[in-house]
Amino acid sequence: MSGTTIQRDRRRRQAIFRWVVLGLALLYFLVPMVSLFDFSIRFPLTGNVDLDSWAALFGGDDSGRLDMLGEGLTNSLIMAVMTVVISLALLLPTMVLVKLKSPQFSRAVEFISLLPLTIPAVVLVVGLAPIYLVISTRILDSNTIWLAFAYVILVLPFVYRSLDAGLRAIDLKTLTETARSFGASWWTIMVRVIVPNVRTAIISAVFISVALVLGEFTFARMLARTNLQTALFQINLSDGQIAAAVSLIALGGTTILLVLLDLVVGLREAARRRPEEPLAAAAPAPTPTETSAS
Amino acid sequence: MTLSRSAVPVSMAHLSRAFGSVRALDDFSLDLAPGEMVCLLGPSGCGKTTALRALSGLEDIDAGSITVDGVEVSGVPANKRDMAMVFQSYSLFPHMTVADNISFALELRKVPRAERTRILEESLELVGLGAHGNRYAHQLSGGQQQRVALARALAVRPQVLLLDEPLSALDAKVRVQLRDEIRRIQSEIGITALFVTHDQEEALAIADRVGVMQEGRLEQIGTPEEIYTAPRSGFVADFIGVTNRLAGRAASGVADVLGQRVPLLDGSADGDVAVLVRPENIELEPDAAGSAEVVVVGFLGAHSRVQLRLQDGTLVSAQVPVSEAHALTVGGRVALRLRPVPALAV
Amino acid sequence: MTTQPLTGRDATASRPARRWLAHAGTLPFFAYTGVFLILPTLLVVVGAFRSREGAFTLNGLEQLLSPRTLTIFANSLVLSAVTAVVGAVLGALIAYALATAPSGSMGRRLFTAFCSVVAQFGGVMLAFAFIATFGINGLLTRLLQDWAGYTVNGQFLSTLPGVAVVYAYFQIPLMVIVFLPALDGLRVQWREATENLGGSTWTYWSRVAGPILAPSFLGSLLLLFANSFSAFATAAALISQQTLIVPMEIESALRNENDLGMDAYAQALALGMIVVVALVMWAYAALQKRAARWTA
Repeated sequence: MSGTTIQRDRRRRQAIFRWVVLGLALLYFLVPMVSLFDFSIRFPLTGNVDLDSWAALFGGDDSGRLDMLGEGLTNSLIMAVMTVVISLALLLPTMVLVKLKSPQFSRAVEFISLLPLTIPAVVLVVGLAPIYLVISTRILDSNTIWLAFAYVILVLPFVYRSLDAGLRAIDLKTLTETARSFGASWWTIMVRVIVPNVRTAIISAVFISVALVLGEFTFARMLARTNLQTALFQINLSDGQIAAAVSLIALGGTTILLVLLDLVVGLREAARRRPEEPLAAAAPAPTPTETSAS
Repeated sequence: MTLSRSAVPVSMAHLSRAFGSVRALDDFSLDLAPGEMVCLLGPSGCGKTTALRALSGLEDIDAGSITVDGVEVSGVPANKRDMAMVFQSYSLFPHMTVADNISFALELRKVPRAERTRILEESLELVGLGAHGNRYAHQLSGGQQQRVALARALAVRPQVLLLDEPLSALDAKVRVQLRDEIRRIQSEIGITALFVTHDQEEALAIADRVGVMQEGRLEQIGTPEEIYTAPRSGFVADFIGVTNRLAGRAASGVADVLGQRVPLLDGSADGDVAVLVRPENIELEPDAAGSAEVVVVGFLGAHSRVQLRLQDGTLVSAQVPVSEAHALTVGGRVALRLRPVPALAV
Repeated sequence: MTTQPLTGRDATASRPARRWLAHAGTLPFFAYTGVFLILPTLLVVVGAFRSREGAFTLNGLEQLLSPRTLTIFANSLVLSAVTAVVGAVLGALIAYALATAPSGSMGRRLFTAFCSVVAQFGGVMLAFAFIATFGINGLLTRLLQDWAGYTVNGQFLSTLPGVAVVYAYFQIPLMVIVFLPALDGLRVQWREATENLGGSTWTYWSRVAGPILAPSFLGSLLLLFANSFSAFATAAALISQQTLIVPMEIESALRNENDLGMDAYAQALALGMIVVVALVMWAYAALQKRAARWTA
């Protein structure tokens, strides 16, 4: 008697379903991006199609209309670096310390780190306004880049979750005790034992933080500073095509960033399965569960 | 007992199933007598699980037929076959209590509530979990979960019971306990059952018949004792229990091994052969002129196992009573005597 | 912290001091978050009841409960609820389609990475993309006009429904990312056991998979709600004329802080938002705990 295909038929139906749904979804997601591109090359009033706006972006522009954009981009990039450095320098040693020496603080640290998820940026900025007034006038100056201090708070939950997953996956206690028994100092332990083993978690935290800082709008707008997003907003009022082009570049950049992250995570997983690296950390999955569209 | 019903025969004839270039089932045939428990045994990838799943309907077949109680069921979807399965892990529905798990199939068949409650109580008693009806899967131990899975499978009185390595995920002690219980329940109810495992001790302990599989084919099927004492191929002999390979010469059903004569099983090869001798069929005696040297003496509780090195360097494993092992010393020489138990030569 | 072997007397004498030293290592973290997180939050909570002279006032609350503000709150809540439901349902569907593919497959990983990108797509850029699609000079506007003779309302994107359509764009991928792990947690054995015991596909979804996924689904929906409620940039880029939702009202209140009668208003609005989001997140945490217990 010839064979049966009941299970095979079901799997095929599933595959068709999958292709249709994901195909439609992809279409839905791509249409606005295609529109962005179309907008960037089509002058709205005359319908002329040209690459002027793109040329202006890459070829350099003397008219000064791109100055604000340049300023915003520079500020955002500097702040991204600052945020990453401060958040990691703040969280990693603290979390290691708490795990090893002060476990009674772990709930407090977790609660505070995840608190920004419950306090929207629009709310936080109301309370930050007077603080930044003091910072601008009496402690530092009104330079935009000091906004990074507040950005650290915004990225706190994501960096915490990433590092937490990474630290959980390694046997921190054994690693440090082994290193201590060989006479290593704490600095050495941190830099040469812990960091390499949570590399993937750190990379993940870095990528998410950068994406968040580059996309941040609320703080900058409410506190009247210039970053990439507020500059984009301004430029859109005078030159929508350039705004569209820059948005597309930012999108492309973030895509590459996140795809790279996914590949790196995938490679680390594969490496971990090889028997050569007995102390390698597990690769935690990146979970950007809140958007920065705040 | 309400849970039993008259047992039915099962026949799997010439089943074939390939996954790409891998033949999971290769002209596989097996008949289960009514009320019989057959164990399918073999290394990973031998096709035993595929055979089980093909019987249950969870796996398609490329060719062959499956008959239950004389009725052809090959084209019948899994949920219409009157069989129930116990899985290796994640058997229970996590969001339901034990009672709900067991009553699940009964509710699907619209069994009236009074009847359902009665069967539920009986099932819980059967597996010894009477007081645990309101607990959830994550509150039970591994062994308890599998017992509930068994009760759930039997609650609807299926024609065939299928068990897919149900004990493999459990601790050793629980495994031994539970396998005896499964066997007791199966034979009390008298249900035809197919049990898949890679643990040969398990298979030998509970099955009416054991089928050894390799690469999609049934190598040999017989009672546990037959499989153990009369293996028909080197693969089966190696897979079941421990066996030694001793060089010898075979001719007309008798082999000349270590200067002694050993009768051979049917199907043995002739000429220069390796004779497969079990450790318990080797007797030892301390003898300064003996042909073997003691390498290791290991105490295994009920008996001792001794490793010997022969003159040609071959390592041999012998099983001796503990009292005899005391007389042996590491490095000392012993004389070997092979019992005249028929062995296989390959 | 230095490593020093402890000798007998050393140990007893310095143990409390060493422990204090160990705890002191967490000071930077608590100090930093104290200044930049706890302090602002306190300023909001206290400020909601504090006039600019420093006296206690209920003006903020009064303004909060005014019909106009209540309407704005209602707008925010409805917008969040609608986009949460739409995002949850469509996102769950897409997540399910993804889950049917093997988890290591390249296609699935790329699609998931793509969803991460879209979910993080900053509000301002997203608004531009939609204006480029549905705005007066938008691509789809033009295509629909040319092919179907249908004129899209040029002001659509500045209305609440229009904003909702744009929000859906990042809510759906967010749902996919948040809900996919729950779908992966569905064990194949549960499906097979259902079949084995005589259940159909409908049985599986209605009595097994559905109930098991329900807490995660609801939890994810709540997360989407909170996300939508807190969003500001997208709306700010789309709507220029009026304040339709609470975050925009907060901006307006901050800008007009020194006007008459605006004491404590911005803080009161912020406090209102905290209450809503805190409630939602608390419910989310409770549901997550329940879901974890079952699929563990």
